[in-house]
Amino acid sequence: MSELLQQTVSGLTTGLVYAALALAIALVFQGTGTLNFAQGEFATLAAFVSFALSTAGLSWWLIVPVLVVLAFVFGAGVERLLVRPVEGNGPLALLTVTAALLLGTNAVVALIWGTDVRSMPSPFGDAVHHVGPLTFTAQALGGGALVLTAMVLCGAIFRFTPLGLRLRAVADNPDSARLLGISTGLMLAVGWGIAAAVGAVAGLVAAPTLGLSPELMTNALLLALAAVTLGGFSSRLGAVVGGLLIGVLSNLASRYVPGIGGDLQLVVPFAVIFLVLLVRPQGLFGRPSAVRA
Amino acid sequence: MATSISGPATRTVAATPGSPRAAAPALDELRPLWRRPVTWAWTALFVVALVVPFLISDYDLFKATRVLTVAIAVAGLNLLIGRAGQISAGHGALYGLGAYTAMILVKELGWGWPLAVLAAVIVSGAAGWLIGLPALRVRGLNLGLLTIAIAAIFPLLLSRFEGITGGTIGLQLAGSPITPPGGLALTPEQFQFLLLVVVLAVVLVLLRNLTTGPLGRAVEALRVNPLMARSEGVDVNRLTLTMFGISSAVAGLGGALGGLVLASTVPDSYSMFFSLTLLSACVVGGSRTWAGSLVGAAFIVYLPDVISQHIGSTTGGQWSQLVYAVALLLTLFFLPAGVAGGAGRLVTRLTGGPRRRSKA
Amino acid sequence: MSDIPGLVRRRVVVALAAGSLLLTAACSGRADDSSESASGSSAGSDEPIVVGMSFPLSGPLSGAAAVADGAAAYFERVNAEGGVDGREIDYQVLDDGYDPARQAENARQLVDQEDAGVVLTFGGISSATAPYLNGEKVAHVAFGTQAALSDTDTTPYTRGWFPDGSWEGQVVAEHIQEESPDAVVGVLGIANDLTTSQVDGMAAAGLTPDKVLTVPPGVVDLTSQLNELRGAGVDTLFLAVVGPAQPATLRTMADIGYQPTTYLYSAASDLATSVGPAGPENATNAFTAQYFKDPADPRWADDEGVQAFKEDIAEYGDEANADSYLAIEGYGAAAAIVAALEESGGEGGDAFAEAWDSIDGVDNPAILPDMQLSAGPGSRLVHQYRILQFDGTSWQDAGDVVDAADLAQG
Repeated sequence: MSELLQQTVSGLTTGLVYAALALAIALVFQGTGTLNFAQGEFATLAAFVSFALSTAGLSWWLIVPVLVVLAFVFGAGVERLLVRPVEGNGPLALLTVTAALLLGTNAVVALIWGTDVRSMPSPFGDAVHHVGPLTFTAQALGGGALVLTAMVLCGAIFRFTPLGLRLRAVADNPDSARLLGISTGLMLAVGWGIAAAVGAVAGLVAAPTLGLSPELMTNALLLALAAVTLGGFSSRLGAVVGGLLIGVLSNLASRYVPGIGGDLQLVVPFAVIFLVLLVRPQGLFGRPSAVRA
Repeated sequence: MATSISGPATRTVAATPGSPRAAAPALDELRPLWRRPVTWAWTALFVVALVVPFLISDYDLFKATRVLTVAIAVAGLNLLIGRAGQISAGHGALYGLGAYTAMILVKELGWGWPLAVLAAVIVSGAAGWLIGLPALRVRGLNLGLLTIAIAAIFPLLLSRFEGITGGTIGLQLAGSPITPPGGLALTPEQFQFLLLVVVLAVVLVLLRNLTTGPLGRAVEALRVNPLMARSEGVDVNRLTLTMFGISSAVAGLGGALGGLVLASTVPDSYSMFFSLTLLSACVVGGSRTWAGSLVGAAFIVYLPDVISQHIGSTTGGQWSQLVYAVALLLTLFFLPAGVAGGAGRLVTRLTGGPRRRSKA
Repeated sequence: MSDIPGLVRRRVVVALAAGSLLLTAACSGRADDSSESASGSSAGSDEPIVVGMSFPLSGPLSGAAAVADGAAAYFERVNAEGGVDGREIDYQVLDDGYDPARQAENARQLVDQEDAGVVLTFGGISSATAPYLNGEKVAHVAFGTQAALSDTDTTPYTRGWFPDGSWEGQVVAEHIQEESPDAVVGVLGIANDLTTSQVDGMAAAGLTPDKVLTVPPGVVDLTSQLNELRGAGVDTLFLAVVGPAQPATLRTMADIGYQPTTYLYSAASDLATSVGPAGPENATNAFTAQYFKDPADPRWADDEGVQAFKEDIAEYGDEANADSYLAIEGYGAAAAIVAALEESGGEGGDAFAEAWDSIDGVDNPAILPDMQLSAGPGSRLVHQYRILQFDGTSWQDAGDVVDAADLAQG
């Protein structure tokens, strides 16, 4: 029983990283209407930058806000310079652009920092806390808190600020938003920026546990895609819940469902997606909406 | 959010280079086949392709043969994406399914290769039909995700069921079973290349006829507006499944021939990355031109090699990857209709055709 | 209407362009037959010996470029010292991105165009290229632990570098049985034939692990698997994961306070990429069954072989690889290949295979002291192991040299 609990807790901890990445993917999707395959690589890049900053002697209290700002500028810049030119060429061209971004970012990271894995010290120290039969590392607790904060902040921006209102307007109906005088182009860039910032936090939190390498987020990206589908592309909350569910489900299934095992761990989230899409194409939390003909 | 999926898609329809062209082929097609220049161009190309094997080395032929097997798969993808308006990010898995089916039949059951290839086509087609089932409910990027899930899982399953698939080291033959029949004084590479030229030609002709006939008009209606297609008596579900089936069968054909020419099938060949590469070949070549399948395949097969040969040091691999990514981006920026579509547009401009903006 | 001729012309040109692309890409002329017979029979000439290499220089396994770099450094040094019997080694490195189709193409290019006498390929996908090279009777050295690469009956021209994966399982199992016969043994590995062969080797030594868990390559977070092993009471763990997963797992084990007796997979135990990033304190007291020297280990600072390696890599290769275990593996392999080339007097496939198989008691800069290369089971040159234990800064001897050739027989 205590192993079941521990497995669930571990699943939630890893699920938080998927959740943050899934949120980033959902944000881009709501604005630009494409999946950003490079979202994971952006997060990896951010993790390496934070590593470089910490090697340069910056304290973590500074690194986190600096990283978030840098990531925002980077994400918005990528949208303006590299994604904007192909907008209007259809979802497939956009998708291919993000695939090219994935390859390019991955190569840049490997060129600067090499392909060997490096250790990154946890900003939260190495302490271990025991609660009943469960063990929590300081990294898991601190990292979890950081990701949660980022997600709550992001949610608050969308729900309670005028900027958020405009972002939502553009996501819901770009044409009407334009008629209302909202600069849709600017809002799309802002969306990419916020997504990159949330993703950066995911990378920062994942790196001390997984070790820094160009493949840091490869697997997490797949699971985040599964999470977004599960939760529904139209729902930010759904993406987060989807991430947590995927984290717990893939942990428990590979442990307790006979015949699955670790090597087919990846199959679980996708089997779930398959079922969800067939039964509820809009995702668990998505709103069904009429297909515009 | 389904609206924003179909939003850009509807815009694409208006923006494709195909639409201004729409009237032209209709007139062009009033002429008999033998009087159309495009027929002559393809025929000339075909004849040239028949001479090529006697001019270049077996190594270059081997590589060109791989381009042709990939081009078959991309042609299948073009049918689905460019004509039927459905996304599949899982065609790498179908290509692999064709390869494994043919390989197992030849290696384990001792079938002759033509029969094994035929069986592979049927198996892949059936698998594609099954994959098409969710497409009846799910469209756009959700479908893309679903098919990418298939692409991600396929190599894992190949590794798991090693009893049939040989596990992670896959299945190998001592040599390709596709050898010239007795009496033909050709090297295996020459024969394989010629065979693939003929197969690709047949596939392209069949696909072209499929999309210009009455079925083609129904497919066009399906892409532009499924609701309207339905109202005009098109059985949308059946048509969607048929398109998935044909497209997958064609991909399986390419895979079966590719696997047998290589005489080897390994799970690593059919990774999710390969599926995405096929998708980028489709976009780079131009999903609505049949020549695009050949151009796109050449792009993804030759470019990485060309780049790595020019950079070619043990530390240059990352640079090649970066250059490839940049080349892909530049193609998308400057040739939104793909290389084949873009080249055609350039010719029109140079030869005094009306100027058109590159995108809507 | 003026539109139409232009459009038609356009489609014509597109079709032609597509074809000419194929033509121009295949630019080199058809090789005449005289050059094909050149390879293999040029012993004694002054022509360079062409060594072709196909490695993943890009993509997820691009770390293996270090192996190629180490090998290249050794070839350069041999050239600087006058070559093999006065013949220069002309090595060519091609990228295959770990794609079997590209590796097969590269092999054809190296044999057809470059006239390579020896072809080196990396990884398990080498078994896909072996049939072609064997058909061409070209000497083939494959960097892989797979049993398929030891099968010299089916592929008489293919030789595997590294030991067979199962032997390490055997050596580790024997050590476990000696040290703690009642151990509850777990294996945490990669879902491929490497872990399968390791577990087979353990079984051959009479040890059936109580728990075997595998994950696909690329999965880094193994917390769930660790929870399961701990829940099953596993107190002795053979940790056979590779890449970033290995140090991450060691760190997680320390974090959650799970400290079984740990055996690290030999190729994932070096200071630069494994125990270093894991935090040396988290790997202290771990064992490994090892055969190569880790150039980052201070123990070998004054070692002749390691010093030569570091000098050569600094002069001819990428200096960043001076601490790389992968690079010294390639360096050692190149030394073995050169030994076989010197013995065979040329690069003919038959002569090379014969020379390789007659290697007996040859020193090598990369392997541990008190070991030598000699052709053993499956024509593998490396089959001796020594159990080492990590003391927090360095890997120290914790047993005698064990020869897998003896284990295989009895």
